[in-house]
Amino acid sequence: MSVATDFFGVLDRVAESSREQLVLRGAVVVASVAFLVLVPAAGGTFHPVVSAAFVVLAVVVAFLPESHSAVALLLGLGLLWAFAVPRHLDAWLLAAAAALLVVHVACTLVSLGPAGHTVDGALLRAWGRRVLWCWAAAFGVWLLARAVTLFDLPGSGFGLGAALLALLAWVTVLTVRFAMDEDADD
Amino acid sequence: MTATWRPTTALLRAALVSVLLAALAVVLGRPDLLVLATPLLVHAVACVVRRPVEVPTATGTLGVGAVREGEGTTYRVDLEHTDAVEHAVTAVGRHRWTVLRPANGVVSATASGAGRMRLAMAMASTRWGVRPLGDGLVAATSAWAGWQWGPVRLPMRTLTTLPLPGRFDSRAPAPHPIGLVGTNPARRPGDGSELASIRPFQPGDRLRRVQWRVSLRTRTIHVTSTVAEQDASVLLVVDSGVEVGESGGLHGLASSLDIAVRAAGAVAEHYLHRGDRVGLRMLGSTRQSALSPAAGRRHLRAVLETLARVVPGESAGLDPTRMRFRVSAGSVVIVFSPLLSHTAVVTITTLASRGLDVVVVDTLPEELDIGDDRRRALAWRMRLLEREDVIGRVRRHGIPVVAWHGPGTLDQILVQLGRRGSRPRPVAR
Repeated sequence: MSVATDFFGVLDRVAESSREQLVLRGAVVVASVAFLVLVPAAGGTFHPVVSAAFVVLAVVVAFLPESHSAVALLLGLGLLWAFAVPRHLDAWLLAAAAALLVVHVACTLVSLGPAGHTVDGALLRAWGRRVLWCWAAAFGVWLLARAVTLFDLPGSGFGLGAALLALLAWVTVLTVRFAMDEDADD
Repeated sequence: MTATWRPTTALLRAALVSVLLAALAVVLGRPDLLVLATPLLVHAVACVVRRPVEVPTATGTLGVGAVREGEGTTYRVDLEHTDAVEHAVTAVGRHRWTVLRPANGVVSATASGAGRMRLAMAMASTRWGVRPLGDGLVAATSAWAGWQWGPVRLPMRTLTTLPLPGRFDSRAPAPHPIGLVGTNPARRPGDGSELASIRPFQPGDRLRRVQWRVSLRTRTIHVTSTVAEQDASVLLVVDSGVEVGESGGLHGLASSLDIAVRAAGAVAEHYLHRGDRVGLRMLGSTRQSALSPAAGRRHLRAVLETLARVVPGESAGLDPTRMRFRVSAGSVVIVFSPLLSHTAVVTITTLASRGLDVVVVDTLPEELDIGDDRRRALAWRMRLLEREDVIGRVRRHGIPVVAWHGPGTLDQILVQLGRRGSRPRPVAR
């Protein structure tokens, strides 16, 4: 029985969740709503229907953080930002990146164990540091992007090609890694 | 228990979302999307860089294999080769009459870097019996929650819960002690401590037995004679064919089998502590159904373990008239039964007809929840009337029936049986 069809099992798991898990499930919804609020704040267009759909999806993710529905939520929010918000590099962008990160990390921590599993303080502190590192990296990229925008550097075909090559290399690394794991399992 | 490290949903999510957003950023020329993708990209890179190689191994063990009702033990899951493990969690199945701490049976731990991890949880058993425990799963995740090992199924462990014998004490001696040495006053004179009579001296009497006062008064040497002290043989018969009532464990309501098992344990403990020999016989489908009479602490453990293995249910091929109880003459047979099965009644009357002293301990619980169904209540009343009739028939055979109420339950009955044994018996001609 899949996670999505086992409706009562999902409700049971939510009911049996520990306090930390409930907080983390709530954080998924709150961070998603915060991201949706940041879209108009950053100068984007507010779409009530689309936003409502994302809130529903966020609730689904809060109920099923271990499923792949979180991928749809994160990708959807990213696409919403891409198409609803004009190209700006203001501070709202950093807040939006933090919101996406919170959704992702909250899903990760809830999925560490079964319902009722308690996430201890040491682990939470470690993840707090990691979140800071990740966000600091985003801040660095943001600073770099602002510097590039400030100097108004011309568009470069070489730069675009290099970026795509780097991306291709990273995708290749991931593909090879995961393919190796699949072979090992077989 | 072999499993390999697999990428977690978190790693797949971070990799997929970051790659797609980065690609979109490059294609659309939107650096803001790259900023959104960067935290997830960092997470994915950290996971891939810190990919674990060494595979952990897990073993589950119980602190002790046997406990008394209400006692607890520890269930431990030991993980070896945990250098790459950051966090481990185990979830143990919950069973009736088993109390876990934490109550949901989920325990987790964060690695300390010692190369091994231990997940421990306290568990207690609230009812006698042999039950499988420790069935569950264990899983571990690497740093940054990028890779997951397991969940791996833990092997089942068996916990034997010995019945906690009810409080029992008896001041009455066994009616017909026939052993060698013991604490029960026998019928024949011998070297004991119980006064039998003061009689004239006979050759062979010991000097320390001389009763000087009587000797001076009568001018003839008299000695104090004593009766021999012998051990008794007690056979406990537990009727496990029928279980009436629902067991609520140690602190809840007791079923008829609960009462029978705990009472039998209490009586066995009492007589074995006194040095008597105790045998055990089950009437039902329990596989190990008999234990020959023996004495000693080790035998008490064997009796309690046999009682813990009692399974309610009738045995299909059991013919009570042909059963061999391997019980010697002079033994006392104590039958623990709710007197609701034909097998038990025939067994009781058969044992009595063989000339044994039989005592029936009625184990029907006083509090029974029949429910609100009127037809069911009526049926139960009819069953109780039939039972009253059965008890009357058993009593007419000269077999005492007594309800279990702990200390002193058997005192009066055993005294009466002792007197009955010393009385002259009418012989039919």
